[in-house]
Amino acid sequence: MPYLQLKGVTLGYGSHVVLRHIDLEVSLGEVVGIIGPNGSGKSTLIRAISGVLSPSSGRMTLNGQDISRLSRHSLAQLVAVVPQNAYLPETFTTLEIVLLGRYPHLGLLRHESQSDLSIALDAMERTGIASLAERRVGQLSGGERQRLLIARALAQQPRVVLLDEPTAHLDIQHQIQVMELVQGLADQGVAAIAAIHDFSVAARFCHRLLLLSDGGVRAEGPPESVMTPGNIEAAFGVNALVYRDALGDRLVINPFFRRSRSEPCRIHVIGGGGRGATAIRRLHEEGFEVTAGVLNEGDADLAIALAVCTEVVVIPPFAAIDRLKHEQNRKLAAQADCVVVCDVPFGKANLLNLEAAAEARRLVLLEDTPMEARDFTAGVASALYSRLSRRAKCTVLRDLISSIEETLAEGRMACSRG
Amino acid sequence: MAYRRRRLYGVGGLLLMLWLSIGLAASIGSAKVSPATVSQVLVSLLPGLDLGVNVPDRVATIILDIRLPRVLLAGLVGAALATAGATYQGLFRNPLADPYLIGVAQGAGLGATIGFLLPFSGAFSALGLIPMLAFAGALLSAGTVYALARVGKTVPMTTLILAGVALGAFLAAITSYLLVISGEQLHSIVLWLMGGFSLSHWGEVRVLLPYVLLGGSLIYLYGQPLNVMQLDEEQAQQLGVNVERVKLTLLVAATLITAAAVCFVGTIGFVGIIVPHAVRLIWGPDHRFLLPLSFLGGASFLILADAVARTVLGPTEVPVGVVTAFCGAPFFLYLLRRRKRVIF
Repeated sequence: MPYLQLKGVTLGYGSHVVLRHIDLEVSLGEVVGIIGPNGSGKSTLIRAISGVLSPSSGRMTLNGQDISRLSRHSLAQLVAVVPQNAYLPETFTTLEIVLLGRYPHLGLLRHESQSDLSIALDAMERTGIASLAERRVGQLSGGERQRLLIARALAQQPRVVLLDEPTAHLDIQHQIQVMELVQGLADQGVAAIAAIHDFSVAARFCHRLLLLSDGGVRAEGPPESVMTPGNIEAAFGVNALVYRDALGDRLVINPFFRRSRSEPCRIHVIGGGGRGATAIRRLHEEGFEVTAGVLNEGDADLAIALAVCTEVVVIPPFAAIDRLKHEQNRKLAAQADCVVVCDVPFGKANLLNLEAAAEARRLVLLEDTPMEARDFTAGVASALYSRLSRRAKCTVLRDLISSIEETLAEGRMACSRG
Repeated sequence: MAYRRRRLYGVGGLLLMLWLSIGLAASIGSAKVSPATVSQVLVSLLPGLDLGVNVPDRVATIILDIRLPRVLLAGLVGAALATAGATYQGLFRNPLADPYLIGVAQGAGLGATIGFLLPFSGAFSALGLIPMLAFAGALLSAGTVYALARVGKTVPMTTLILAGVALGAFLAAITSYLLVISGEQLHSIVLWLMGGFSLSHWGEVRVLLPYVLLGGSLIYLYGQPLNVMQLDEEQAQQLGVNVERVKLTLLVAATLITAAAVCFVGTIGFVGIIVPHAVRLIWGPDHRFLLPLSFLGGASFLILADAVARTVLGPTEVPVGVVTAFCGAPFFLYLLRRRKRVIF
């Protein structure tokens, strides 16, 4: 049975409703990430679970008990919060702040015992701030303050820890350290719920994600099922490439704005060997319809091509282009408003790509590396290429978009004159 | 923990200082009595101790019936004001907060002024009409401020301060108007408003003692919640403090002991601000120590200030508020300069 349950919870401030009919179940040992655009109610949800904001309808239970029925004192024994932008009095020392985390466990006279002190010191050890024990809060850096708040939550020894943007002020080392700490807590049987802005942190460290937008839950589940381009576009209004990172099999979310074009325009990219990836991505962002070919499986260009291109011609790894694929490629080249040939090394296996380019109505060649340096066909490719370059616009990757716009504009003028 | 030991020494030191202050203050005055004699009389008061002390009856009467009530009343008032001041400063998270912040002084002042102007109040006793009216005025005023500041189920502290300032100004205006039309009572009213211990009896000590002891103990129990509330209210709630209940309890307790103190001796300024700050400078901001140390420190401070007030100009008494400000302010500034750091 889940430790924390929200059923049909509606939250808001006065008459302003922020979240409507939220259902959520979190078990001990889970790390649940709450993602969503600014103002989507991430912090509101955290405040509600911490008991400082009562839902206007619905039920929130903790271990079967209604949260609104629990006293502040017993709630604080079970739930700890790592707040965002929290005020801390400057004159307190770091240790004094962490000891405040022991408050819900103190007796009537509320003096800390030796064991309270060692729990606090242990929490500081685990967050790497043990050496700052006597330092005043006013002298801490943003990252140290954040780790201090996490140490205070640890000292509370909660069953549920709520974190509002725990990595927001942290450098990359401490981001990982903090999130691994959160995972470690989960391994010890604590339920962790964190509002997180950073997609890659959320995808990497959370078992489950809750995507909030437009006053409700847009998606819930494992990171790969929540972080889809469709969900991200619907919630955040940006396009995104979502793929598994080749280096560590991590989910990578690569968000961008895609411009819209007044008239549809199709570009065919001839790449390979990783030379086409940037061109494909930039053309896609500029709003062009992009096709690509012929690419080998496992090619770095293929990942992005499969993610954004409407059509891709693919052959097995290290295979040479066969007749069938060549025909497909020629057709795509002929149908496109413009063909871009990237500065790919040419050998026997992919020489047909250059031939296919000859079908282009308009042609742009990228020459960041000169052709002589990437001709592995004893001059055959160079000869073919120099024939192409006579009627092509030669440019470099940086000027790709402007060159294509120029080429297309010349084409339109030629049409109107003819 | 070195901190805690230092603060425990502080409690011991201040207890000793309180004893010495009482002895010293009871020994000085128009009739010369040595501190040793005073100590003998004081010790003989302790239950179960019979040391066969032999002090002349006349001297014992001076000490027990004239000086001791005054000294103890000053101590109780000082303890009440300093504790209430520390409580308000902690509650409002504002170093400028004093016991009179939410209209207690102005309410008491108006109540007492009305008492003086009533036709049948010519002779008043220790437990007479004027203290009662002052007490009622203080509580009415603080209660009104609290009710005005209430928003739904919560009482935002800034609203409370603003309501206190506004209502205080309103009541002070009425008092000033009454002063102008008060005629021959003007002098007595002004003396009352300045505050002092010239009319002290055991009766007043007996009434004030339970208020101060009970109120002070209650406040002391809330030391750690006050520490937690030095964070913002939301964090305090998330750490297990029932913020609204703590606020209400502490406001009621601090207001009661302030009103009880003020209604007998008038509004004595400066104690409630300076003593908690001095304690904070020396022993740090932990309310579990700040509150009892302020209690003891406030008692000693006002006992000594009153001793100075009644002796410095011979038979004429200087208002004790003048002494608290005149001695207290430089000492406070010295502490402030010595520890050049943020203290609140």
